[in-house]
Amino acid sequence: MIPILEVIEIIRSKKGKILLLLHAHLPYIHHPDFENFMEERWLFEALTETYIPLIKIFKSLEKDNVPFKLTISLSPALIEMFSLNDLKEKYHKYLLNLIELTEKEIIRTKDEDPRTHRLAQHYRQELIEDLDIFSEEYNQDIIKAFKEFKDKGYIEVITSNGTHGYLPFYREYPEAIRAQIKSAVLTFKKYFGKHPKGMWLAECAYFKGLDKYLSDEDIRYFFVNTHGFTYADNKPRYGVYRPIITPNKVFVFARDPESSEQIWSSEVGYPGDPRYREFYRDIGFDREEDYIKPYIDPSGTRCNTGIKYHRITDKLLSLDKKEIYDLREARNAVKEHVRDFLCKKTSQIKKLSAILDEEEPIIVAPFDAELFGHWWYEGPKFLEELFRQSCESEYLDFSVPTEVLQAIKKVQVTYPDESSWGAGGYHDVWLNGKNDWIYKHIHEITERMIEKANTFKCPSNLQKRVLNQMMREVLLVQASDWPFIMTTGTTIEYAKNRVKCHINRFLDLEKMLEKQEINDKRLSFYEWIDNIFRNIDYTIFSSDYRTN
Amino acid sequence: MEVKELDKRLLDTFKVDEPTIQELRNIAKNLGIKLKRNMNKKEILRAVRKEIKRIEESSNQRVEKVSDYTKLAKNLQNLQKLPKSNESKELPQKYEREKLKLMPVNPNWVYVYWNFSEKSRKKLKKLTKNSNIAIRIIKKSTEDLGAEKKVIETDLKLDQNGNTYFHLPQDNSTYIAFLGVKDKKGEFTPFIESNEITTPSSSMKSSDKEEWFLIEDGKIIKEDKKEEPGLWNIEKHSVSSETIFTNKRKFSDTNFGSD
Repeated sequence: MIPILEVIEIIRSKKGKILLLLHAHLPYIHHPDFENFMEERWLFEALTETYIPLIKIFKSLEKDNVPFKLTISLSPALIEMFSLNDLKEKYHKYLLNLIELTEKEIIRTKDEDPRTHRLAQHYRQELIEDLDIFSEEYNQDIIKAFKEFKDKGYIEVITSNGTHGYLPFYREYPEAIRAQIKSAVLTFKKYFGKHPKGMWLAECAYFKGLDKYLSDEDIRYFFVNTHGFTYADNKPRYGVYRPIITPNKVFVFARDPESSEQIWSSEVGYPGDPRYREFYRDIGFDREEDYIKPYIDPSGTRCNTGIKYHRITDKLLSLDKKEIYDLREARNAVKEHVRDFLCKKTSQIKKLSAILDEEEPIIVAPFDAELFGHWWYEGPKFLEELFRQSCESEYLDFSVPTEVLQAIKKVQVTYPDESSWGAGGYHDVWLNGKNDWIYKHIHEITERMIEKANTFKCPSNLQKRVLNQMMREVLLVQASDWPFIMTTGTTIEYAKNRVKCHINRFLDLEKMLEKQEINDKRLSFYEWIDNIFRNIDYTIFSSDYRTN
Repeated sequence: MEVKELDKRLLDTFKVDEPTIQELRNIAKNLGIKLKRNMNKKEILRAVRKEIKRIEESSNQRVEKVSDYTKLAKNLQNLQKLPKSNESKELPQKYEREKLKLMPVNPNWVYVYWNFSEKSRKKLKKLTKNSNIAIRIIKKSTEDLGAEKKVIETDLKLDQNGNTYFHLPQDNSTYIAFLGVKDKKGEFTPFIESNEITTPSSSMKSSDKEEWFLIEDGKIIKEDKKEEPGLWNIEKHSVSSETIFTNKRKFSDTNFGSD
């Protein structure tokens, strides 16, 4: 009697914890001198398709008293864009414009397939709700929405590297690493009034020693990719299913490979289901030029509008052969996939519980937030359904890192190994023949920034403005987004141009400082464009900067 | 044609954005181009481009005698000085400090770039009359401090583009590089020393002991290593969301070459 029933009892008494983490980030893109700027649409698309839909599902779950818990990392660059008045206004206009387009679509699709017509009505309804949430409910302040659900205890909001700098490339410059972390902490404090407890390292990129900087800034935990634990200095006894602590006293969670695969593999992942919406078929490309012109880039360059009428159908099928998207079918797919996911998680937890001694298994599932909604249209609905279906589960709970850490009594001490979540698992995506030329320049201005921060101890107000702007240019050029875009080959010219712009602006400002001829007009212009971290000053780059 | 009258903002728009037909008509008017009523947008655009090209070409020529053209060139320069948030100049080719930088790409590849000042370049040029410039990579030994091992050496040309990739023999190892002069006998004189790097691991490490931190007591204890083999049946590297994202965008693997 003892063995089987006791084992079952042990398994039943331990619920596994799932730590779902969504990392929300977009590069800082701000062109206030243009009425329309193509790359600014990235923010507008992410707001419409991911960030606002997430807020909608939080509201819906709360209304129905469904418990939910997840961690959201909001990158400081994204938060700073959320707070810019001109971007808020542009987004407001963007929504109004899209609503107008859906109204035209409703008329236009009357004589088409009834499913297309229903979809047009559905999109209009969604956009009107978005506008209501954005403008009426939160007065264009989307950070307020995240703060609200954070304060209510549903979500744990954490931070990420200041401008998403890829920190392993700056390990020779302690001041630069500190500046990325310090700017993150200060920005989080500014908008959330509290110190961030955890940090999502940009691109999950870690190197040995980075934990010390986090510890210096009172960051209690961060995350690494699976092989950061596999090749740890001392292989963790419980694999990736329990956190570890580094000798510098920072907790580390590692990514569960199974959960990532189930949700986001291009081969077997749920988003590839034929019933889900096809991302690449959009009326921005389908409709005739005269009709669609007011809703795409004014240059006439075609782009996504978010109004899409087709489903994946078959991954191998060309875009023109795709069938009409059916909302009801997609909803059924979501329900099936959630059942499948929970079934797999339950079986994983049962297996883990049997081998994890007395400890509860912790399953860490981090994703780019924008995958939910932007890439995978039904993603937010999947999350909502996940919380609805799991609330009765005997085997698993959703949790957040702080709760897990509170219950920990004993934790293994070791250093994870250097890793990232990019293709190959190391730094290849951000350092290869397509983007390596940028580092010579970025390192050069990083060094000069540190020198300037060490030299200018009592600058005049004007000099201080120049130095602060130099700091912004250095931080912005360090963003991992630019080399990433160069590798993926999407908007390469934009990325190259941004690197050149920031470096040239830095060099121009440095010249002004050295020649003592400060051109206020140009300085003001740079301040207007690269208007990030208005509350932070350049001394975060000085070698003797003391934390708190 | 009076350049002063050029509507700077409109011309700027023209350089960056696709202007509307009305804006184009205004630009053409300011440039003194005669337009026919029935000209469409494409035709106007072509005429404007042609005229701007002509003006820019003329202003680049030495035409001191023609005061109008000098004025024109100056004005065009001024126009260029008016910045746009997406305007950039080319970057400096080199900087005035010596640098040899190693950046690990993955457990087996390292990226190297170097830069030297004009002064050093001249000095090296003298030194290399009868010798070569070379980069030498040394693997440091953790067990025996004195036992450093040369692992790679590549000859360079002085004017060679300042970067390359090297394949390294072992993961989780410490390397340092030197850029120096190598004479015909193979004698190597280091000129610039790089930063030291340790490459990431691609293999599991073994140990007999584990360290555990007892949170309430604030103590660290040692325990015998306990293997949980069932937990490590995982793929080498899990698929990342980034990978999927890039796959969707037809990401192709990068190839490294050590030239």
